Amino acid sequence: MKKLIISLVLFSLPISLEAARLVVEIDTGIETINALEGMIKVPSGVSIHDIYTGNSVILIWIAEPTLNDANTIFFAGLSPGGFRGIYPIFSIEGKWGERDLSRFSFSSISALKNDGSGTAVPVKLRVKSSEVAEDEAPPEPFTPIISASVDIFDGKYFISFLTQDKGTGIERYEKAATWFLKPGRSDWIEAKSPLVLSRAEVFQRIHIRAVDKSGNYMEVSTAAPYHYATLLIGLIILLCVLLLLRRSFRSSSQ
Amino acid sequence: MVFSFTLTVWAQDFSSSNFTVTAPVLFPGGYSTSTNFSLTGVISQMAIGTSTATTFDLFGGFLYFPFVSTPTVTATAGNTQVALTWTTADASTGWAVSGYAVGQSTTAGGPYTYSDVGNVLASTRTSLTNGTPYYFVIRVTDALGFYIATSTEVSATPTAPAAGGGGGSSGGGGGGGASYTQTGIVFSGRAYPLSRVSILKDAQLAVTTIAGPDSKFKVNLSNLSPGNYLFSVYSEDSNQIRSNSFTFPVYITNGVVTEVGGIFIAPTVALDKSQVRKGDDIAIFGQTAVASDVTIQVNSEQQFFAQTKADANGIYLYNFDTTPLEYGNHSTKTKSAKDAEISPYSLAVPFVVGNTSILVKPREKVCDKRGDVNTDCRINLVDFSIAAYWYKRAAPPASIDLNKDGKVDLIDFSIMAFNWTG
Repeated sequence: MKKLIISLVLFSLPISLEAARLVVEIDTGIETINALEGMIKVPSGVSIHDIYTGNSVILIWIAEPTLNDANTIFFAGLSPGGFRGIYPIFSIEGKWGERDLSRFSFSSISALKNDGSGTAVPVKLRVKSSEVAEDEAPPEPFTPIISASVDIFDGKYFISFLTQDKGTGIERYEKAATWFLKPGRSDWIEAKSPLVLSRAEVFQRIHIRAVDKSGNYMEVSTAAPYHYATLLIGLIILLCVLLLLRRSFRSSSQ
Repeated sequence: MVFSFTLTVWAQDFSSSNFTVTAPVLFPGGYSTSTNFSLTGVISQMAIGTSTATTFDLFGGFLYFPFVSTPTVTATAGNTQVALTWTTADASTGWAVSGYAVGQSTTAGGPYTYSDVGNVLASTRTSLTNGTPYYFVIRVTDALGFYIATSTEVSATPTAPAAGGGGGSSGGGGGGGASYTQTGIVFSGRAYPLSRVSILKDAQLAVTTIAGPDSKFKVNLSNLSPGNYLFSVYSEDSNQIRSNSFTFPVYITNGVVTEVGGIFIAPTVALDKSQVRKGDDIAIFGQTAVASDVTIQVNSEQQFFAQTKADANGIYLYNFDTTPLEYGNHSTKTKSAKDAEISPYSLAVPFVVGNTSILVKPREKVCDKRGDVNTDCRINLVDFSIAAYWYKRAAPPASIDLNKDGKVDLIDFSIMAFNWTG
């Protein structure tokens, strides 16, 4: 296994224990990489309020950066096509002092080259102070995809969805299923991709809402596999009912 | 005192079935000339390659196919300024990039005033006049300071910020009330004649267009939020073979249309044989820009080069004589040049030199790339979802374990990301 060169660079650190934000950056040097995973050990005494993935060079998270019980942030993700240079991975908001920051450490970093084989290459990771920016923009528009595969969920239909947010990052996704109308406030439930569709949902219209950490949201929808067929059958039944009513009305009037 | 000498060299002839180089003597392009001496002759090994040490680089042998790709340039206008970024010019086979120069003009096509900016990939040109169109090119310099490639021209018009501007963004349901109408990006470049060109925005298919009969394409995207994006561009040739993706970062500025020019999609490449009998020809073919010059590189212990020209449909074909190749594994890749623009190299296609020839079977399906887990001819979010389900789980299906190591881990995702179509 190739030796990874990892460095932790801390600068412009807050002097007192105040709420602040750090950004975790990657420097790939001359290499173009498309996959990255690793861990950051958060020193004891440091309180992490939130982790933001907005504007990250990682476009698809296999494991979103999350603080676990062992005070460690694990992350893994992809950037199809790859990238080369210095880019933000995610940012951390919390309270820390200078001594605490010197004890942040990286481990198990794996960066893979965009060469079709996943060759491990050395990269540098560092933490630097960051400004807290306002985020008034919603997440990017996106297109959910409904599909089925023998490899998961016993071949049942499932919906996949993903988008990015250029500000604070995606907080959560929500799903609603309707027959005709727009979903009401109570119809939305939190969802994660990929999501198996229920028996009823394969006949409905599926709505997905991406909500960023500032509360802005982007809402899109797509027809489930049998939605249009259901609408057509419903329309035919409605027409038949109308015709029957018309006939009965005529016969009664004669 | 003027000191001068000439070195006469009796060199070995080089020949193949269609050319002979008799007693080659190298003139190293004037690099070894000064006011008081000139050096003519061979001063290194005959095999092409780069010898390196801590204190010098020696580019030896026949440097007849030194390679550098032309950068793709992004121009974003601002208030009395234009921010330029460009992709790395990849150099090999005798060239090394040491820096870039920005050429600036108020006239389309130049002449340009050049400023060396060092070995960086961004420069902001300031003190410009709002409302005046400016035209820019990026020149690539080699280790000796010589210009070895020039990008295509891009333009931008600096604009004063609108009174009360700022805008912001709206969208599906959140956000405020301003519109995106002025925020977007325009891509232009070369693909293959009448081929479909796909643009991915942050790994998701954003727009497709059809290149013209001259191979050129131009397409724009709007409704973008300000921020960092990764855009990828690829095309498919007339045999539905996909090019490799060309990916580059762009920062989108609110209220500005960013221009990205000089995209030159690498050629596609295919072979008629997966194994060729030593001494037989192997057909190397594919598609690229109309009437472009195609350089074919065969990677062996020693590299071999050949050149051919694409026809009016962008099709090229070269029958490579395998006589000089050793038995064993080899690969080939190609690049294309047209009007001083040079594409990146294509993907490398492997082949074997042996005692018998094996023809490549006609492809039953064109969607044969690794990572197409659900075999829908696309490698996208659905394939990722299926693979993510099996991430670090035991006994994944063979179709998902792309490197066949018995598990789905980051390597499988990296392979998938390399072949991603969006």
